[in-house]
Amino acid sequence: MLVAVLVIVGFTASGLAGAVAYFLPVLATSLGATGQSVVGSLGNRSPSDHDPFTVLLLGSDDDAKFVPGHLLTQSMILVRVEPATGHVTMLSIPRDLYVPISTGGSAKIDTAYANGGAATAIATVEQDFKVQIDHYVWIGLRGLVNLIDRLGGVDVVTTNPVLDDFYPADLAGGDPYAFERVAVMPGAQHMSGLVAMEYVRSRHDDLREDFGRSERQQQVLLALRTKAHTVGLADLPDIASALKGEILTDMSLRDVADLMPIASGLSLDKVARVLLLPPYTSDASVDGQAVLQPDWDRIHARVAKSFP
Amino acid sequence: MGLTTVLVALMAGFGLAVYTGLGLVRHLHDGATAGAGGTTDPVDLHPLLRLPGSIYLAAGGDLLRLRGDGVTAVLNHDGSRRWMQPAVAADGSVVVVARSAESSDLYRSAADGGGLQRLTDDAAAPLHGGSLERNHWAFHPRAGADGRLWYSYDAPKAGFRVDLAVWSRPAANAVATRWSSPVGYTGGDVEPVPLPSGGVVYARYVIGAGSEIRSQLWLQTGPRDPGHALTTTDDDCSQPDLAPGGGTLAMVCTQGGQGARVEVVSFDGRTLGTPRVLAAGSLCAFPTWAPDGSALAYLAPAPGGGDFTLWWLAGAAGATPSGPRQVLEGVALDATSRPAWAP
Repeated sequence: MLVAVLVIVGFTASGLAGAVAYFLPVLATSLGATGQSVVGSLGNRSPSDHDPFTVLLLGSDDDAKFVPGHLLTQSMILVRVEPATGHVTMLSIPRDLYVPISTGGSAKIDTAYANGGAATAIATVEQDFKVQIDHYVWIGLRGLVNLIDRLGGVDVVTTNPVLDDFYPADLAGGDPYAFERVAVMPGAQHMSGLVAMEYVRSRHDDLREDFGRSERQQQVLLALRTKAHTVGLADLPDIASALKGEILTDMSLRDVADLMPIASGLSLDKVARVLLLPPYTSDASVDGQAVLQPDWDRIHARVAKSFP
Repeated sequence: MGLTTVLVALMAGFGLAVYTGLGLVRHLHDGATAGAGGTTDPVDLHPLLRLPGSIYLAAGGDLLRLRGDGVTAVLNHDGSRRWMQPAVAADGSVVVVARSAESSDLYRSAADGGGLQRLTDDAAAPLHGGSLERNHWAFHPRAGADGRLWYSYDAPKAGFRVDLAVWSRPAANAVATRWSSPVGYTGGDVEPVPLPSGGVVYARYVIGAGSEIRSQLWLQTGPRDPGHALTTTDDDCSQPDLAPGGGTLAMVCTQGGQGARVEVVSFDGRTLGTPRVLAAGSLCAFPTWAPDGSALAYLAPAPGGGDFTLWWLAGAAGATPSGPRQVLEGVALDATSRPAWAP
């Protein structure tokens, strides 16, 4: 009898060891990348609660030009998801928006993350936009490229040809201040991580400047949703390895797993995309730097409608 | 002692099997999901349908030719050049784009890829401080029935502004003429389609009423003609192709969204009729008329969200076209390259 128990325990322990070895990368990454404690007032409503919840998506250039720990956010998108109805609202917050920062003073909103990380970025958005943020996800340049490549690329209908003679050549490991030429063709296409990065990051040949870039970022974000159903438990170790250090979030792996079916079930006709174009914002100059001045009355009315 | 050793070995093997099994599950899952390679060598590709003539397609930087029951690679990419956007000339030769990292050139080859001849020289001299922008892009070549070569080209440029304009040059003359003046900072004017009248239809990118960038089909009768729009900004149409005979246009319209459908519309040389939607519910690209005008080929993902592949619409010019049928499987086609269909 004792021998039988020992044999069963031995096989169980051996099997568990094999599984643990396989999932070791995702376990290590989950400890480092998820469950990040954030000083502030995260609502932490979970995707599994089936209640509406909000996620603040932050994207930074994190190449050698920038000091780790003091990164600007080139992209800031507030997303509200209603699991029960499938409705999603995406609000792109312009990086040049001149706002009161939660830690004091006023500045472009892209400096909030640089001056206190996710906690300051979240607190600033909550304070200025009068919204409750439940979760956040931060991703760096290589993180986005690797994530899209690990998902097998994304299918996007690009709005227009995106041509840029001064695109930063900062991912190749050479001079981080060098430029390269990029040309992303118009129309429906399959994009690798690198091409998707060029599409969402280029800004020089767009009459709408950062607004155009925000629109493209929303398109790729929506395209990523169609890949959610292709991600299974067995994929997590590879994805975790690919993203290690390039993605930070307060969400647990359970939250991420609960989010996948919601994302893959989203219908495009239930997605509202909001850009804070004029008259919500206007060009201005503060201390010699070009900024976007918010019209808070209009913005608060719009946000109250979309982020109740 | 012997039994214990065997049991310990079996336990260790079981642990290894669990580890390997999980990896195998992921591998099989990767194989089942599309979009990340897993394509077939062209010589092993066999079309699901036999179409008349030859269809040139771009895939992974190579130029493929689908003819009869087989596919062959007529031009292979190398370390510096990737082939894309083929067009067939009246004499059967093929004009194709060779894309490098920071410039692209037009080449002409025989139908089988032989006799390669460079038509443009868009790469700047070796870089020295700030000359990167001296490179140029040439895309979307088309060969007119009169031998004139049409394409989109990023000149003139100024500072951050890099917009494509429609250019043409006569067959026996290397001097090109700029036809269009693109709206600045939109990406410009692309995908020219020469008309029998001597004019051209192309896709122009403009700023819409809500400050969004949209595409319109645009008609110009000459290089000094400002031209006029054939479609509205709300329709957001591009990628035109003119049926043989010149009376029907095929195009892709998105209505500003992330869906792209194939539409056909009558064309009297000045205006369009009422469009009909022939394929929707997918990401469609580059509808291309058969040489006899009886059918359309276009690009769209394989069922289940797979790689972009070739689809066929019989009777596209008629009142009752058939439903789309998949032509190829096991190949990831470049959806930014129009199929070029030769008789």
